[in-house]
Amino acid sequence: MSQEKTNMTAASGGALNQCSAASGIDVRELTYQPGSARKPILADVSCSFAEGHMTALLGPNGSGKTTLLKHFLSQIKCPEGAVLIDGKDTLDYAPKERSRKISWVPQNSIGESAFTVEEVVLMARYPYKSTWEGDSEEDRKIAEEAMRTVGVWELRRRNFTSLSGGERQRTLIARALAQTTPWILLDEPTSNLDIRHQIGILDLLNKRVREGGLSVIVVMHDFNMVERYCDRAVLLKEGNLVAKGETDEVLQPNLMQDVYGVEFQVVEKDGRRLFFPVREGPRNMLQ
Amino acid sequence: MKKEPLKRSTFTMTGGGLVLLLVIVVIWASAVGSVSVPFLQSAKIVASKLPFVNKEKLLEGIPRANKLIIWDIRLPRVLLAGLVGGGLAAAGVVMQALFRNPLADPQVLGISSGAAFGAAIAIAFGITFTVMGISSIWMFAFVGAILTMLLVFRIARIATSRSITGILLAGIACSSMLTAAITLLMMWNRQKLEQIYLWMLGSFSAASWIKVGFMTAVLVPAVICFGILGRDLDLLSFGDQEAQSMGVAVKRTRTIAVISTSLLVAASVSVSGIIGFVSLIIPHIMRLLVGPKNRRLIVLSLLGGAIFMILCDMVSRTAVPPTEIAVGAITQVTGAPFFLYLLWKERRREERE
Repeated sequence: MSQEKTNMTAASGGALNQCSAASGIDVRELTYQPGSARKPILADVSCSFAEGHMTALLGPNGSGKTTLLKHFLSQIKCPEGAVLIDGKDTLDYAPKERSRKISWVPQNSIGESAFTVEEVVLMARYPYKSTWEGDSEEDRKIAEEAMRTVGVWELRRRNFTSLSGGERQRTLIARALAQTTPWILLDEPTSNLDIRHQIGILDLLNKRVREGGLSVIVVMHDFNMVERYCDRAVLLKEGNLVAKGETDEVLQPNLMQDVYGVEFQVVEKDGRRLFFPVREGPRNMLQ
Repeated sequence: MKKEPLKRSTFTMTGGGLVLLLVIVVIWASAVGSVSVPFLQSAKIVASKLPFVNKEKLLEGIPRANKLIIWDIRLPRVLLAGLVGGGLAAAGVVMQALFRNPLADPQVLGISSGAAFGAAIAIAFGITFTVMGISSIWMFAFVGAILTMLLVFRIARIATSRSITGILLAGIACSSMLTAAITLLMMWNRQKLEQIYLWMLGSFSAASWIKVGFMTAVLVPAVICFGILGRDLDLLSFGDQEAQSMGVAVKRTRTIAVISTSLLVAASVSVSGIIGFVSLIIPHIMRLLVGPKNRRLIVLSLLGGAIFMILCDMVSRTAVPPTEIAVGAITQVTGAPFFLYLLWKERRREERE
């Protein structure tokens, strides 16, 4: 526990805290404990996500990562604390207005509809249209570009339900890109992707972030991918914020061991750290 | 982008074809009956009431009796069947989209049972009066449906989480309680048993112009609501959370959809009784024809439901004169095999691809 504390102090106070509150996503003392839960899913979490970064959201299963993202999207209305997007409480946004700021790639889509891939991607243009407005030439262009970028253009006539898990996931990423928001939240976007598509998608997001205009918050479990693509990281454990800051500062082997209960060996290769899980740590997570 | 314009023209052609078919079916159904009127005469009589038409010239040489039969007796019945059929089918599209369940049907909200219960009370206790062309049974049925709707919403609010499933469960619970109550009413009033049972089977024999006006007044605003919500319903096929992340005001959409379908179903059932299957089968048929976009489905189901119901009602009154077969039985007997045939055809098509 004391080790955790030290690391937290080391990691916090970094660039994440210094950005102005007006732009970016600002989480303020967020506590979420649904009536049925014995302990809070999120406990007094405060952190800021500055624009122009690819931030990894890390933590073991059940540490509150998805719940945190759901607060951003106002899918959970929380009585304690707040999430500010560009200085305005996310609950105060009109749905269309919010969805012009943040798009979301869910972990699993329940979509069981007969819409084609193209129709699904075009749905992302909804927040830019009035009730009776059809898809404009521009909408189609944006959707086509998004589909080509993630490689689902060839699948555009296929039914969404007939796709494989990976193809679905890429379609959802295309949909988020077609929503043309300054923020994209991704919840384990690469869990169903083969290694080539994993790298392809993360390269693409990383490039867009570096070019400017896009900020990404991504839930991932692969530290090597985090190390390679994300310049910022936030680490949660049992609803508590354990560390935040530059990826190098957060991805400390001893901190990881403490949070995940797994011992890691770190190897440096070409100036990049590689993480190998060695064995289960002193604390047995399964008990 | 090659297939998209083709798809749109499929919709336009199907829609245009259905409009034409609807006009023909309305005229044809008005022509047939115990007294048969030639098709052309029927067309002229129907057309004579349209604005900007020279009535005298059009109606030259047509017997007065035929005019009365068509205008006062058959046409209101045909139009009422069309309005109810179209309304139920369009409500079915919205229900299926809202519950994300291809088997969802306006009946699951319990509204039909509420209408039946209201009608059963009026019949069982011999409450029969007519005020300005509005019969007591009709009035009781509509009030029963509306009260049930309010009860279902209230129960869904108190007893369940406010999800859409909550409304479904509350609807099913209310529906079965009301069905039990109707059974008791029938048990205690054996002499009224047949009348109650026949009302529940559904019929357009008590059609009148007032009912036509009433149905139109409910159907038009409800369909406008459906049209406004069409795209939101498309996005809701991905679930509340994803739809919201794309900007859909989920709660508002759901509230408007549930209230407008409920009112439409309440009105339909109160004028005609419980006619099943139309709201289930017509949306499915249209989906096989033009795909899943809800706005298109609503328009086509409106037309298809109207045509289907008019034809079923025509069969119900002409098959074994002078008795009428319950129209609900005909919708099911003809609809179910056709539906299975379409599913089978769809599977064959998928296998070939």
